[in-house]
Amino acid sequence: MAIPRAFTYVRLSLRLLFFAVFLLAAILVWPQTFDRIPGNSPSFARVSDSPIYTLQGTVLNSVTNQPVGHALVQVFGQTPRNVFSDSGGHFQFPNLPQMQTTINVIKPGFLQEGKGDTGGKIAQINVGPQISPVIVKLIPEAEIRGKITDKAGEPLDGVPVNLYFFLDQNGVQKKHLYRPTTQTDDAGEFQFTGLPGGDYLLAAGPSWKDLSDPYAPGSLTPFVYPQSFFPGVQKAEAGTVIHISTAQHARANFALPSGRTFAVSGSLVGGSPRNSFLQFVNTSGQEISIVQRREGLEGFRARLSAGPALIKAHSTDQQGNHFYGQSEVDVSSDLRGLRIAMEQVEIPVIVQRESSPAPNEERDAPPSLNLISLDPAHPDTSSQVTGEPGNWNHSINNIEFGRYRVQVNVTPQWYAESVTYGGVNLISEPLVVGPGGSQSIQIRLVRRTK
Amino acid sequence: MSCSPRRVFLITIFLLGISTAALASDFQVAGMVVNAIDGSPVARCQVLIKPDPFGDPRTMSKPMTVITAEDGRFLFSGVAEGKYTMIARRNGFRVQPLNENEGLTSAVVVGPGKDSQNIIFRVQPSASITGRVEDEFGDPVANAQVSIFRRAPLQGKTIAYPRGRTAANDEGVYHFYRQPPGEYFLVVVGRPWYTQFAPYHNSLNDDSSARKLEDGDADLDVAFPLTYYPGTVDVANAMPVRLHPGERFVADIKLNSVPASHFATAKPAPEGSSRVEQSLATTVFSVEMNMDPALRIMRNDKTTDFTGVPPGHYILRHIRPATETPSDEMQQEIDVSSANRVEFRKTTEGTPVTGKIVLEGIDEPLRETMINFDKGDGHILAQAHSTPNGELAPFKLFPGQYFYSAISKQAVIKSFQASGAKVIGRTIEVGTSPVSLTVTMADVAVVIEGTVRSRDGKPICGALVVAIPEDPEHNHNIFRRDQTDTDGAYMLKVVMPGKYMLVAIEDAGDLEWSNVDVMRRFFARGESIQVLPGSDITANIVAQSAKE
Repeated sequence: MAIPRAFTYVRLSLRLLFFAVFLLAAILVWPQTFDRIPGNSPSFARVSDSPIYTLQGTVLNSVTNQPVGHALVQVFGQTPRNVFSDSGGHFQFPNLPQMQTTINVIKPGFLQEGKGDTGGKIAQINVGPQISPVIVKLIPEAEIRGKITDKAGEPLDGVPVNLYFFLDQNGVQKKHLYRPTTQTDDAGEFQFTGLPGGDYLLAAGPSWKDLSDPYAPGSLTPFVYPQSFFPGVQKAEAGTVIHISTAQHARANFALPSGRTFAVSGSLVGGSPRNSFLQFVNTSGQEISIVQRREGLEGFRARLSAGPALIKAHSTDQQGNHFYGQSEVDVSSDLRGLRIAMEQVEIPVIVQRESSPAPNEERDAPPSLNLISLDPAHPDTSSQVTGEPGNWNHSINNIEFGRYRVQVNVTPQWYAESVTYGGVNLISEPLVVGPGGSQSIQIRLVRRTK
Repeated sequence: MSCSPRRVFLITIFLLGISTAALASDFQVAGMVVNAIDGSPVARCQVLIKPDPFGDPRTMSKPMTVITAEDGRFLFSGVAEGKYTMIARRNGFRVQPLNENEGLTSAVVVGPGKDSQNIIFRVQPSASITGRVEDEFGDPVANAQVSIFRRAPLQGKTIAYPRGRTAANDEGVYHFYRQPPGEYFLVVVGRPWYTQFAPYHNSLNDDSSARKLEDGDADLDVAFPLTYYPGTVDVANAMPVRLHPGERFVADIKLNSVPASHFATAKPAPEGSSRVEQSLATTVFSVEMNMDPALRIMRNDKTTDFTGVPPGHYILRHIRPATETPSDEMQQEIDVSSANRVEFRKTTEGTPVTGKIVLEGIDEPLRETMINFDKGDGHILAQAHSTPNGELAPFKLFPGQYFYSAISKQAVIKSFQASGAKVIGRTIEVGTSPVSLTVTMADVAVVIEGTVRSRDGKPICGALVVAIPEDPEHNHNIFRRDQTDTDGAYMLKVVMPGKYMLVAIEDAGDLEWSNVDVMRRFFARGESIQVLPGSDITANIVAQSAKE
């Protein structure tokens, strides 16, 4: 039986109408339904030709799972968008186009990216039909507070307090200053907030509490609280490491031992005294000079706390050559007439390549050397690349006497087959730098096979 | 071998000299350190004596330190004759010199007939103000700049003057410690923590787009207005902190954000100028405070964009470096509203000033001399530098009244004449007409010294001595004052010729010594003196009590 053409049109129109009503209902009902259920599936709407979506989520404290209100939530698309979470920790971004994005959540009191952890960051979100609600967990910051007193238990105000953390550098555990120095308040209290969990070392002092002229000899007994490490020891190595976990609030009270200081004076010999500076450190590398003063170009005076000390002198002449000298002393009385001889310390670095570089490698950066000090009294250093492009020979000229582990940084096409200093294999043995001239470091580079 | 009478005489003189030298180092300085609040002895306090800066260190003892015993007593032995500064320090107390009062102290005088063994050193316990700066959501305002103002006599007048500034830590916590007791105000400027994550709102190019946000998005373009403790933007509602000795006052401060404004400076740098410093400041207790939280962005045309500015009344200053002549100064008073609108209310150009310095009665060329201009608070607003030929390098002064003074190693101001401006006493009133100065300088200053005694003739230590000039309102900067030493001696230096009333006051404390209405009650028993050029004066005075 033939169906009349007019009836066919009616059936088609009804199907279209039914579909249109269904679609309209879906558009109207779907988003409203899910908007009432926070944390449920995403909304979907069609405003223009491009579909748009709503990204929803919740910000939680990673330790307590409590919601975090008034956190700034950011998504990064063509234009960054910002919302604040509500008191229940909920947030939503309506009107997002289909895209891949990241979410970043920031709130004071919680760790941010780059602060030792990746809390508050979701690396990749696919905004689109399959989008689902997200939960962002913020990691609470840890803190260390404490009180510094003297041996009698009286609070010490205005005492500098430093916090150190540890870092493995090519197999050598080094301590680094975590935050700028803070000072105790009038109740002797200090605080370091915003810390990621980890191991820390705490130091307080030096604090110079005497009122008199520090340079005056004779009857004076200037008192000092030399730098001490928690729980009140002189050497960093003897200090107790404070381990704190995420969100932990730790207290570290300690009493500073006091001692007297001594006058130390002398002169610089050699080098370029006009452009020189002095450093007074203990065996842990901590500054122990309470005050210091230069007298003319070559003379110096200082007051140091008692104990082993290293006096370091650096200078640079007009040609840019570096000079270094040092004197080890054990301070238990006034010391006068010290002479610190400075000499030029330059270690040439000779680079030998197994094969000639390809034309496109001529301008590659030459290998650089990191010298990691094995002695806490001396800092790390690195080689200075100053030669013409293509000339990979260079030198190390800003180094103190001491022992160093040598690390060679080279472009991926090459590896260091051997690194030697005289007869010493620097791949397995430390570099020892001392007075009286130096030899060159020989590096042989071999091309990596693919 | 015979010994001639002349030789005997010389040997005797020599031996006497040795004996005198030995005796000269055989004095004692002793006393007691007590708590200024309750008079209780202060044990384990460090006490230092060191030669007075104006004494001769070659004949005096080196600095010495002792520690007080349990009864607060201290003793220095073998002290040479001379004048010494005495300072005390102990945990819980501020470092303080003997009888410290508004920059003056009492020296300890050691020598024959001088009583240096009964010193009572009253030390003030430290006090502190601490607190937390937080926003309306309870979040800390890290790095908020907290300024502290003390309301107390300064230069003899009770005003609120700045005593320091500190930054709050990550937790919004700030501290001001080792503060003397008194009345304080706290003022905070800061930025909401989340604004640092906002993109730069370039509203100057396209105002409409700046605040165009997706529906529901957070507006990060906000700022904190300058706020007084405990959380008001109106100075009239600022609550004073009354700090008592030894107290630890907790003053939490709440900041509320408001929509921020943006504007560009209207005046670009002049042609040929390398740069013009453009700064935004507001006035707090008559003191200008830079609005650091506002961001400044220098444009290529040398105008500056200011962004993140809270609504308020500001001074926008354009200063061309002094190294570029002529220096160019302009200031504008502006009102910034929340509606991102800026109204430039008043633009003031500096008035050009030229002049010369004439040296009178001094037979040597003029050395470098500076003429300073201030508003009576010692804060120098303009400085004119002499050139080798005696001319003053051209400079500019904004219209208003200034006190003038000079810095010179040769002489003091004898007369000060101006064409185009009005000079009364030590003040000059500058309008908009160019000004030409003639400054005559001569060695006419004198010293007034003497001893202050009680009515029964005993020397008084720690008394305030003030020389009040005639017409004090216009001669504020030639008041002279000192505080007596342990032997009752005082010395007023660089006193300008003219008529003065000289008074000595015990227990002066916070006395407004430059307020004539306050000081008038002491005039009846003061000394009226006429200072003539170059003639030093000795004047012994009887002390009056501020408590009478």
